[in-house]
Amino acid sequence: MRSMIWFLLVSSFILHPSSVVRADGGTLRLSRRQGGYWITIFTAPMPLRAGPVDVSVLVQDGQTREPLPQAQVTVRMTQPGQQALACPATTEAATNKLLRAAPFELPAPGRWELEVQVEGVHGSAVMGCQLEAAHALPRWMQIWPWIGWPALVVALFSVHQVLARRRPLVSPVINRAERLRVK
Amino acid sequence: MNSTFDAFLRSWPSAPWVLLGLLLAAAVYLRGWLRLHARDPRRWPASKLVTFLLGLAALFVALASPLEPFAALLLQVHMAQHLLLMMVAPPLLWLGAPLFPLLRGLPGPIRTVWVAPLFRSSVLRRCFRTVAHPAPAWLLFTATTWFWHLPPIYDLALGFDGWHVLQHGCFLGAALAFWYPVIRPFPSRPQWSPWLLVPYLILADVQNTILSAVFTFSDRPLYSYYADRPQLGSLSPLEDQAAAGVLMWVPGSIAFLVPLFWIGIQLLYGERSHRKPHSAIPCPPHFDGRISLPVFSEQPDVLRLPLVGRLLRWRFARLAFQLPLTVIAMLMIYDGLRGPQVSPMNLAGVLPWIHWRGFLILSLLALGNVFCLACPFLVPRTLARRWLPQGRSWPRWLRSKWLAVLLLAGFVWAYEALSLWDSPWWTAWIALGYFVAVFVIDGFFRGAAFCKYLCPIGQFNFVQSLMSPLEVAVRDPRICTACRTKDCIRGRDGVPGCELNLFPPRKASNMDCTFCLDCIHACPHDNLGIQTKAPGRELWHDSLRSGIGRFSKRPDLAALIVVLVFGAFTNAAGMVAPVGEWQHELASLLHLGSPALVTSAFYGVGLVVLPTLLVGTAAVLSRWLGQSVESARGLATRFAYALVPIGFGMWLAHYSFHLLGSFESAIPAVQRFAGDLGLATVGDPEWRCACSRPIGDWLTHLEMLALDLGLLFSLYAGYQIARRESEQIAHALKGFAPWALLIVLLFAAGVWIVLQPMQMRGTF
Repeated sequence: MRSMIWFLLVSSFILHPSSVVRADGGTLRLSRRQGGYWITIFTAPMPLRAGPVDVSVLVQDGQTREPLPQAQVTVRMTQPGQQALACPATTEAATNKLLRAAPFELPAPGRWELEVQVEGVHGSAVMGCQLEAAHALPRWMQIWPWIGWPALVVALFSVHQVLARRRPLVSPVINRAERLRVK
Repeated sequence: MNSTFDAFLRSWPSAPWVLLGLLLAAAVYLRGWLRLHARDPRRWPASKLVTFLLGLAALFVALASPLEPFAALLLQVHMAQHLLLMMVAPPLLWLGAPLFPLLRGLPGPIRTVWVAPLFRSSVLRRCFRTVAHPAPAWLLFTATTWFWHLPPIYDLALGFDGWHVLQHGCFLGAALAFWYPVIRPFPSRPQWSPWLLVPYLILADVQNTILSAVFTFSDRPLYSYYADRPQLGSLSPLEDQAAAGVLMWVPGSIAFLVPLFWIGIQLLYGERSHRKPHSAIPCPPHFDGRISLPVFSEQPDVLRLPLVGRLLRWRFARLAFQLPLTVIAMLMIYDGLRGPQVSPMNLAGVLPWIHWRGFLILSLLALGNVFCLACPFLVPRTLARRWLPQGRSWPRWLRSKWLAVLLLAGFVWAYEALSLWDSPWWTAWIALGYFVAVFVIDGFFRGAAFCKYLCPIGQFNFVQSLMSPLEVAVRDPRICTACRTKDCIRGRDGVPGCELNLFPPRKASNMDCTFCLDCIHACPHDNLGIQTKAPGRELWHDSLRSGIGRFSKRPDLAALIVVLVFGAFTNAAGMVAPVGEWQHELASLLHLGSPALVTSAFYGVGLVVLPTLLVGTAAVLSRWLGQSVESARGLATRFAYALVPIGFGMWLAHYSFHLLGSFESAIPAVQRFAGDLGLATVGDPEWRCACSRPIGDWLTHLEMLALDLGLLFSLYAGYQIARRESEQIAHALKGFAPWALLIVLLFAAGVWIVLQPMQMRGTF
């Protein structure tokens, strides 16, 4: 049984789908010069859905294209009939510290207006685009790797048993241990 | 410092699973290397350890360093990441000759049960021989490299995480195959001429040069993904691509040419001819998985720990654990009877239903039946022994778990139907009733009749502790065989022996063990310890157990398990919103003033009807499909034990949810209670701590993990029981199929429950 525990632990470490997570800004939505800045907007996940979304912004100097770490960025998302959402985009929320990330909880699917406001050495600049958010996935689909990975372990175990089919029905080691416990 | 470089240095991705996987590999290798190094330092020098660890470090830098987030912006960073995966990590890992250290570093059971059969598999050996030959290895390496660098494929990998992971996996796998013939790590014994490595490496360099040249001299960006990325500084996408090409060209060529040079020198100057031929080198024994498993392995023992062991061996250790819990229980009873009858404000509304239950299940998972060890209800028993006769023995016709099954089912029903969790007054009376019941029953009956035959909490602990990692066990059975006094069961010098009639050499599980430590204190040979065990292993072993008999002959135990398993799901389902709404709808449809009747019916179905139907059907089908000679009742009794882990998983998921989701709720209740007693130093109650908080994804993931592991343990236990029930594997599998289906059904029910909004307990 201890071997089973080890097997499960190792399997979960190796096979867990989030073992390697890409930590970029996601899908590139818009990248252009606006005022004195070059602003690039990314969104994640792909495709965009109602629920938790992440908007990442890269702010660069419009001329030199050097990143501007001092710029203040605010992201707004609006949809008719919904309360406007606003959130400052920060490097703390981003994995890639060149970017600024703003996490949102999109309450509904449909078309959303995304607006990014930048305040910095070149003054203020506003840039926006439209996003189409699909319906949120059912909860079980959002966490399907957590539900599904045991199937992979069962499959691996089945392969293991097929490969090891020449073993005696009950391991002699287990038999011996069992006999000793009974004595 | 350049702002981009500064951002790069701070961009560490969160990759705990990569880190844990690499640390696990390092720990296993280190453990094995230490053993091998102690035996043969010349063959296992420190350089092997260093190179292997450097290989793991290269993997860490490739997958969990700032390279990972920046690889999405710059092709040259992505190329550096791939070079680490293909040119740096694999040769370093092979230089560590990892096969024997990793095998020796694995725990014995995993080596013998899981790995050894794979080494004996002719299919796998043939596959490995094929892949490790230079020709297929070269083809695999080249094909993988070129395939994944095709623009549509590369863009696909960059656009989707799953494909990107697969790309990295292919690169690492192909590179491990490629570098194996070059390094030829011990105990590799190639059958081909080493001269083959010269064209092998030259041709690899040639294809690498061609691909690099394509990157370097292309007049347009090859990958639309990088062409669309924002330009960083003055670096255009085309320049970035050229830099990636140079990176692939120069360090890549060096990676091929250095070993080529080294191998050429060895071949030309005959360095290898001075060495002993492989066959003359004393080799470790051929690995067949049956090495070094001593008959009586010394298990890790809690009593051997410096401070804890000494404390537990102290004769009054149990009392020392019981007294604080007794004081807390008394305060809780007082507050439950006299305090405000609002759960979040009262100790009796918070401590038992949020904290105690959570700690109980977590302690069973991490340690063992420590609650019974520190059980506060047993303090009055000590008094009862002095004041009451305690002369009778428990009636023979009640010496089973059937009464406990009824009490347990009644308790699970009352919890929801009478809303015990929402009534501090009732909670206090239950605790008080417990004290009285123990005092009376153990005052008149010998032994620990209350614990063994009645206590619902004890039965819960006994069954769930089958999944615990610790048990009171004999250190050396030979000493027990020679022992004539049997003090562990008879008692010695005022220390009672085991009151539950568990003779330690034949105990063989945690069932019915209260961890009272009496046997440990009574043993004159210091031959008992609290040892580690493989959780759940006893579920499929049907040996004769002292004080219990064989599991297969105990339908009362099986019934207890079934009630506990289905109770886990019914209890949790009773708290989720859809079930609550459904109960209210049904009550209004039937024109019932209160939903209590519907709730009772729900628990009747969940605890009696469904278990009987499902377990009965599974047993009948199992008998028919598996062509078993055993009766359906016998099969139900035997396979019921396989359900313990999935039930444990559900209890763990449920109770952890309440504990971790409302942990702070104890703070304002304690502050309020202290304030009522006039202890103003603890401050005013922080009522915001008693409010329900949003449940994070991490908690759902934790619950899912508990269910996942419960599912796998249950399936494994059922499979092992089936293998022992039937001589033929085909019959065993067919007999197991209905139980596997039942386990998967329970898992599906658990997933559904976890994903529903759940009522919190003891919070506003």
